[in-house]
Amino acid sequence: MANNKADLLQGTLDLLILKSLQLEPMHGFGIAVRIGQMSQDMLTVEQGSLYPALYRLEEQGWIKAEWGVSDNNRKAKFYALTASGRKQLTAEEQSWAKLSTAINFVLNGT
Amino acid sequence: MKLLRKLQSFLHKAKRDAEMAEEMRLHVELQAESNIKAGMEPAEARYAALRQFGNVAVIQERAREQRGFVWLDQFAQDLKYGARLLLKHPGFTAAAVTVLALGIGANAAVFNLVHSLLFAPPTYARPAEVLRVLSQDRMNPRQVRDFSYPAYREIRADHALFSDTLASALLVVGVGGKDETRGTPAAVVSANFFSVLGVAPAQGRAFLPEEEVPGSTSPVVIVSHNFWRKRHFDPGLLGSPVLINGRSFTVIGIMPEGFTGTTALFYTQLWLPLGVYDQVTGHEGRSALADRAGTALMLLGRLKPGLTAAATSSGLRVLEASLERQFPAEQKDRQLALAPLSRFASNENDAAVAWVGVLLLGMAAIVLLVACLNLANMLLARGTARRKEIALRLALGGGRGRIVRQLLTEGLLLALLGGTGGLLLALWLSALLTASMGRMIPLDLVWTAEPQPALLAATFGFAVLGTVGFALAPALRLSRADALMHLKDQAGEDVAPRRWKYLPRQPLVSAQIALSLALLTAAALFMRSAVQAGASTMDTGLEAGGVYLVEVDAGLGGYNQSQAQAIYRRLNERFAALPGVESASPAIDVPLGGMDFERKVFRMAGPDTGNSTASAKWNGVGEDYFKAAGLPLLRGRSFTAAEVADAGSPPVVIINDLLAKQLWPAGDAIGQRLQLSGAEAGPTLAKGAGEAMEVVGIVPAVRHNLFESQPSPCFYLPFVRGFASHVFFHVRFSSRTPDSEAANIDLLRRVVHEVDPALPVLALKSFRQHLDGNIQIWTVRTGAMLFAVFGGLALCLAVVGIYGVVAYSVARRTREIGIRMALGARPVAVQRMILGEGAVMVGSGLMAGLLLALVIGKVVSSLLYRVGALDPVAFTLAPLVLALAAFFACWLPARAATKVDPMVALRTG
Repeated sequence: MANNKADLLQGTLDLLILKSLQLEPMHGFGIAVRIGQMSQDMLTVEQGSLYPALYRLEEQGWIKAEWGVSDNNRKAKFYALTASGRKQLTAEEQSWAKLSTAINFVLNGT
Repeated sequence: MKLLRKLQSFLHKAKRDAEMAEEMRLHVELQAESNIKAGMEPAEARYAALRQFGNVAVIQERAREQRGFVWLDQFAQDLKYGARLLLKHPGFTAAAVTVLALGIGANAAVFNLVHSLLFAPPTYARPAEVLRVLSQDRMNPRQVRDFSYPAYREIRADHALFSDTLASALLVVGVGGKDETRGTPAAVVSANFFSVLGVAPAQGRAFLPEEEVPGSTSPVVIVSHNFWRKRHFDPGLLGSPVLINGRSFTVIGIMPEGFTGTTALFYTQLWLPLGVYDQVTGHEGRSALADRAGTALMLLGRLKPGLTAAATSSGLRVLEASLERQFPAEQKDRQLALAPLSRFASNENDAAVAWVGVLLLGMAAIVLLVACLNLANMLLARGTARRKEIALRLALGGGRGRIVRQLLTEGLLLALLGGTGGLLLALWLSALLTASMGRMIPLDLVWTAEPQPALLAATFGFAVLGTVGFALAPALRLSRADALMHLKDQAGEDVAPRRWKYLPRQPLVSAQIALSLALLTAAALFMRSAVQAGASTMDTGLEAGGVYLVEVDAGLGGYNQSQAQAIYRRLNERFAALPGVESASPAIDVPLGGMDFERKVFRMAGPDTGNSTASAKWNGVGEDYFKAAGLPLLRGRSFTAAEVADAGSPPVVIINDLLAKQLWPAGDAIGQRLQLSGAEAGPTLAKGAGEAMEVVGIVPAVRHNLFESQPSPCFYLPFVRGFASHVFFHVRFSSRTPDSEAANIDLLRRVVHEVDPALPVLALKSFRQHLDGNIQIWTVRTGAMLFAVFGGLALCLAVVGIYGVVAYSVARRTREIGIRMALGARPVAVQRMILGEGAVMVGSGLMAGLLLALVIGKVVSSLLYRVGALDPVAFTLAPLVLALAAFFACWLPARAATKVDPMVALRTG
């Protein structure tokens, strides 16, 4: 199963989900598609990780879910950022930036 | 806020599950649509979408795990599943719960006993500071005694060691009206008793200093909470009168609940001020309390803050010296010593009894261990049958941790059921033991059969311990992920190499057999010891058939000494005149009565070859005592009626042959004279000590105490000289009397009632019953019974374990056996093979067990009664019984193996 991979990606996946919801509320499939698009198809989100992550973020209170109607008139569950979710997104973006800069320094240093 | 959200998601579980399924269905649909757009066939698109999505059930489960209180949810699931499984296999469940209930019950019962007997803290404040002061013989430090009131005043005045010192004398008083008097444990205490112990009355007041002084006869009493409860919490008890030893005392205080005084095992019910000591002990006319030679008062000092018991010795020497100056005669050759207060209100060290408790706990722990081993075996055997289920779950993506948790939860469920059973068993056992002990000593024991917090906690602790003990190892073993193999495995087929199938289970069974043998041997040792003790009560030296004992105490009815003697004389005349009665006599002591009087005697004259002094037990008896008790006079004569009734007649004494040999080893003791020493505890002699008494008769020696290996030297005084108000009438019925014991007892009771209806009768029984009811034999027998129960339990568990393993192995090897028989193996050979495998398992267990038993035998040898640590009977019998039972347990499945029909076995295999 994708167990180990998901665990490694956990922190990043949360960040990606929060980021994809920054503009508008979306349903689960939409989030997966959006992450694909935004990464220019370099990242695919495993469903096995996506839904547990969504439920975890909801438990944390960073996103909230509401039933709505999708583009093609289907009943769907839409996830939206909450106020604390936005704060969390900013924080995670900053810490990611720091981390990637640091890693770049290390990689370029030699 | 977060908690609230978690709680909500936990509570709306069903709705959330439905939403999640809907959400994921939508996801798959959208994926399928996007696949179609990409150009796939609709059916293929949907299939691809599903494949892309992955294992829906696992994802749902993992998503669910993100929700609040998921562990609780899963625990509930496990519990539900476990309960369903247990219900589905009622036979297994019943066996497991019974095994556990026995193990846990035995432990909880022993814990309850040991806790209240040995470990429950004393009911007074800061017990570590309270020490008992004792007066020790300088030559023989084991010989200790207590103090007189004047000496107590002296010690109390010294504040170098103790911030304060109390005095107390335990005694039994008669409480009640004219028609019914109950012997009740009481203490006569100094005024500062309650302040030194640090416990004030819950109602009313403590004693005043002036109520303590000799001669102040202020009739006041403080009662225990227990006493109050027996009066149904009468709100008017405070200030109302209570009849004690025939006198009216006013209740001035009620102690708080649970306070037992200085006794730890039973409730002291009443406290009286020292001033009334002479009254309640029947010393009218002279003050025994003020007597400087008295030894009745137990002294307890509370150490000054910061002082340790070790740092007291120099202070003690100073106190000792000043005491010796004040009491040159009484404290001659004596030194002071400090000791912790005995829980058993005795002068002996408590360590021996504590040792028994620890031993019992250890034995009970072994029973629990054996029960756990057994259950682990059962779970493993059953788990092997469940391998497929577990393998399937592992293959479907169930986590190993989750499966271990599930198996542990099942174990916990079993343990809780077993624990409940065990608690009931423990309460029942405790009730049985307390009832049996209550018949023995009519006291309010602290030890009760009521469920107390400590007992509940202990039972629960044992249950959890048991779960870890029996469920963890099988759970870890079964959840190992060699899953695929077991999926392919045919049910019930033994395909793995045999070594691996049987080796892991065998050590468990062998260990179980070893422990069981050790317990069984210990049980056999204790049972042998009980049989020996029982047999030895038979040879007290008395000819006891047809003898009845009437135990009365006129002092408890408020009679003084001369009144009591008059009543006893009338009573004895009536007894002797009864039809069928050969002889009757009062005596103040009875062999194996649990209490003896002892005194030093000096030889007056004669050839100077024997000891000039000896310590001897003594008894005060009537003229027909030796006839009534069945003790034939070896030489000389018994007392005359005049000597027994008249204190003015010339002083005479009858001694036993041992004392005669000690004092006059060469010559004839008859006609010689001896003298008694002064200050000793016990009933006072009517005429003072030091009077020369002529030896008029010699009788055979009698054993007074079960634990003394030899009879001791003893002398007998005429009843009037050696008098106590607590008397045992010995009444001998002719052996020709056809009446039953009950009829004779009834007859005696009627006579007592006719002579004086108010005379407190403490006991009325045949001498046979007296011997059987002896507290020492009770202890030995109860101990033996407990160990026998443990041993029996262990034996049963071991047999069940052996049978289970062998039967299971036969069942799994049906096909192999079928093939062997098809190839021409004869049933006898098959049987021999199975038996042989069992024999290896049992044999190794027996060997290890024998070694363990040797160790246990050494450990318990000090507690055995006339049985050696290597007693050949016990060491033959226990292994033999176990081996026979084990053989039977192997033989049953071995016989079943020979019944295997090769054709059937091969076809169904």
